[in-house]
Amino acid sequence: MNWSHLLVQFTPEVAVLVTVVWVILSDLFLSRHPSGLWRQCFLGLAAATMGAAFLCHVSTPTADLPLHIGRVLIVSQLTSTLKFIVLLLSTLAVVFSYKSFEETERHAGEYYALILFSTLGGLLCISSQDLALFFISFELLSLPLYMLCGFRRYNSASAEAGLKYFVNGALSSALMLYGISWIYGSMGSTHLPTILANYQAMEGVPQGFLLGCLLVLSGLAFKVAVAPFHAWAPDVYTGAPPAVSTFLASAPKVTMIGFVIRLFWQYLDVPGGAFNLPVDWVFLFAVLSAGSMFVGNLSALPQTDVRKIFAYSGIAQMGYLFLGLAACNNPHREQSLAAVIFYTGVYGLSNLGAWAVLAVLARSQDRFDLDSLRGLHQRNPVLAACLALCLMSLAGVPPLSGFMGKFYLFRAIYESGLPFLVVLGILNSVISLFYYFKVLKAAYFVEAEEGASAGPTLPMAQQLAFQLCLWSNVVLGLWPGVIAEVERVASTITQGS
Amino acid sequence: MSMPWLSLIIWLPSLAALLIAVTPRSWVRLIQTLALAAGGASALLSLRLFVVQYFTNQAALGKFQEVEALAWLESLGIQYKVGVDGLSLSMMLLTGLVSMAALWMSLSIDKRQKEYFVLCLLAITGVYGVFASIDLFFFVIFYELASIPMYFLVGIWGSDKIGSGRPIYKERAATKLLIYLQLGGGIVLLGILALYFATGAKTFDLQILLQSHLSAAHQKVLFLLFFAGFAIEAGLVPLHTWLPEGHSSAPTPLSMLLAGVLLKMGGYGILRFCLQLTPAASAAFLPAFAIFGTVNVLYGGLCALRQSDVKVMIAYSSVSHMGMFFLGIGCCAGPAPFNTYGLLGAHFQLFSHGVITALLFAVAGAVYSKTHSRDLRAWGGLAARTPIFAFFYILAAMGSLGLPGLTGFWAEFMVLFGSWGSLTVGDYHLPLLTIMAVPGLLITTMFLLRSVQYGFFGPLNPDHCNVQDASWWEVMAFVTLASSALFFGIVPRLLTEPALRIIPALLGVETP
Repeated sequence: MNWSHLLVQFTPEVAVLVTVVWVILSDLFLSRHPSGLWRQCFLGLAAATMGAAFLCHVSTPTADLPLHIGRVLIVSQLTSTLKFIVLLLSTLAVVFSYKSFEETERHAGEYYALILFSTLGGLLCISSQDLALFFISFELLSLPLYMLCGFRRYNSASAEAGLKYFVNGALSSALMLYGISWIYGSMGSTHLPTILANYQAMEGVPQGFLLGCLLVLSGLAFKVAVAPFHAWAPDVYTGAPPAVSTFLASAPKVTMIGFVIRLFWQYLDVPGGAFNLPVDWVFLFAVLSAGSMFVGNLSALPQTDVRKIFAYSGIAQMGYLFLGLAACNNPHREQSLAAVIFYTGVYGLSNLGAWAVLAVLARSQDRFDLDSLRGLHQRNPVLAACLALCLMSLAGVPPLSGFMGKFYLFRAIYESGLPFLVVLGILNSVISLFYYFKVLKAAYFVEAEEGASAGPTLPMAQQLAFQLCLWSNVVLGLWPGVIAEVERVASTITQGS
Repeated sequence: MSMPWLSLIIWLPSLAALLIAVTPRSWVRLIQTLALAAGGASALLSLRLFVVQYFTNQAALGKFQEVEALAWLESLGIQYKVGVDGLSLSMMLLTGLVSMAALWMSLSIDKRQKEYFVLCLLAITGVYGVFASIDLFFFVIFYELASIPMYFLVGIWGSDKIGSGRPIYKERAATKLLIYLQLGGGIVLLGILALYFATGAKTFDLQILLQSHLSAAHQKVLFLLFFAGFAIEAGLVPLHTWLPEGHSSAPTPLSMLLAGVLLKMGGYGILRFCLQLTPAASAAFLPAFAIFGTVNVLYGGLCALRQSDVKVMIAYSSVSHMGMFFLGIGCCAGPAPFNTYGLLGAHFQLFSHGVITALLFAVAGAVYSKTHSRDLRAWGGLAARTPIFAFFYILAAMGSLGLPGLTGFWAEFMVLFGSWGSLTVGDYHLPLLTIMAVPGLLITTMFLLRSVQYGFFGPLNPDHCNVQDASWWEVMAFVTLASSALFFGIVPRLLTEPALRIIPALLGVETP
């Protein structure tokens, strides 16, 4: 067996694993200084990100792995691309949480270790080929998040958020595990390709399989907070420390969408795949997405707390993504898939940029109502500009990345014969302008009060990260090379299967 | 290799915006110089474009000229492609004139100049791009580039209307403007997607899309989508409510841009998309929509008559004048010479109204900045102190009410002439709409003369004994606009000849 080959294929996972062990040990034995731990965590994640980027670049559509590993894990261009997005988001989230936990500095090590564990779980989720491994890595992703949400133990809102998230998350895990057991019972395996083979060999569809699929889908929908499984999200995002919300709203969601994409395009939507179950998947996804868009956007309208606005906007954004899943009947399948992948990345970056502004501001203020952003353009122009571009991108303002993503999604949906969903999507974009621009109005229209604090001074890493978030909105929107690359990755999946 | 003149016109303002973005905010003089230089260069180039095309290339203006194309995203059929034809040539010139005047007026902006000029120049790029783009995807991008900055420009630098009547707050007006324009843009985007799939050509290239033949059903759906989207932008009653609020709350230069060119994007869109792409559906629907045009003329005029706030009054006069545009395009199904006159008049009205209303807003805004009042009754007898303001305001008012010799006259004359001949019910010749629209001219005369009388004549308001007359940069703006209103009013053929090349294509008489 070629161990070096194997190591190369799993560079990101190994790098994260080594970093997490190193951070824990260093926290125990070497130095408890938060910035030292932060630096180690950052370097490890940055290395992992670069590894994933390298893998995206060199990997063949599907890597050859030894049999016992290849049975449970898969490495392909799609997984490498998704891992790159997740790692990039995690790295940025770590950068933005620098100095966020000075008052609890005894626990800085745990904070970074938990984020790293969660990221590791996410990476394994994306690669998993077997439902059992998927469930384990799903838990590895989720459990640290519960703790992170309640990280400010003495703050009642934070503790409440942690508990709420835990109870709801446990429910979703239970649903998913229950669903997996049904699938196993009816198909005789948890290995996805075997399930597909058994399914194709079978005459008629066992009812248990259908039930299992729906239960797993609800578990995933819980995690990405799609209406009607969204009720936990606003409270959790509001209660959790903003630095945690920054992570929570980006990387785990992208992970889950990534797994859904793989499940969907590799096992459901293939000739003879489980797509011809007696369920109208298109209808199901259309209902989920339309419901999510309307619930998210309409609930965000009356909010005055910026965190709540962002939380509801996240729900609405998931609705747009699910539009892309509903577009599976597209004659050009790779374009629907590429649209979903592209929008996932765009959503992750723009959303992270917007939350990061709050995470940094949280170092000097506790309140996050609209008034607290007053005069931000004077107090800190970079933060204000990042907020403006990220929110406008989420709202779908051309020529920013969010518009390009939405346009690409809408185009795929229209092509798959669902123009009414495009109408709903455009209508929702117009509704969403109202609250996104309400936030910008607070940040830009009024001058700062006399003697208002300038806000925290940003370390160099954070300044660079803000610039990255800021310009990514423009570059991803205007540089067509990215879309061409995503299309290439997408076509490896749709042709390979 | 020839110079990409058209792209230069479009992108010079953006380049200046980029330079201004990296200039320290306290270097106000440099920021102003950069903005004016870029805007001026673009305006001069658009004038050059007009002259060159008119004198050397006029016969070919039925098709796109000076086409520049650049591959962008080939898998989707998107490219950067710009060009001008008889329809957009005068619009480019209009944008140059109005944006130049607006930039002169912008020298009066006294806070946050850096952000102001960045946003303003981006919006100008957007407007040029809308008129020049052949690729529909870039059309949408430019459209939004022109309308999104307006939200910030109105909300931050605008002014509230307080005083008699219902107050108008700038933040509310800005939000309303944003939502309406975006709704219009969204509907247009939907129409463009529908067009993209209806033709099966899988391209956003207008030149190719114009060649394709759309079925009658497709044409109807596309027409309705495009018309709904652009009618919001062009202020068709009852979709106009953003217009009086947005135009009156905006800072002076922005009122000029909004009324002068943003409104024209809607009119241009209707001519380009509804008439040129779906001529059969236009012939079926537009005569009916001419009724709305008449409503626009009368309703806008009556509303303007009631206003004491000068900017709100001018905004309502825009509603009234855009009614003439809708009446003009309603002629497209009429008998032979009249339909041409109607469209020609509608197209002329876009230019004429752009120049004249921008001038009205410029003078009104300049007086507001000197007297700190927008209430006509509070101005009182200003002509004694400020003869320059009075002269240009009266000139603009005369142009607006249709005095022969200025552009407004030709536009209204051609529209009414065309609609008189072309609106028929069955076999009967029934110029009912024309007869109904003519009192609109009377109303326009009434409110404009009233405003001149209240604002500039009569006893001088004692508060205004020390009011300064126009600054030199304001005079530059006034002269730019007034001279073009006068010049093209005397030689209207300069505008009508290029438009005549494209009108057969708009009427569907001749396939392009």
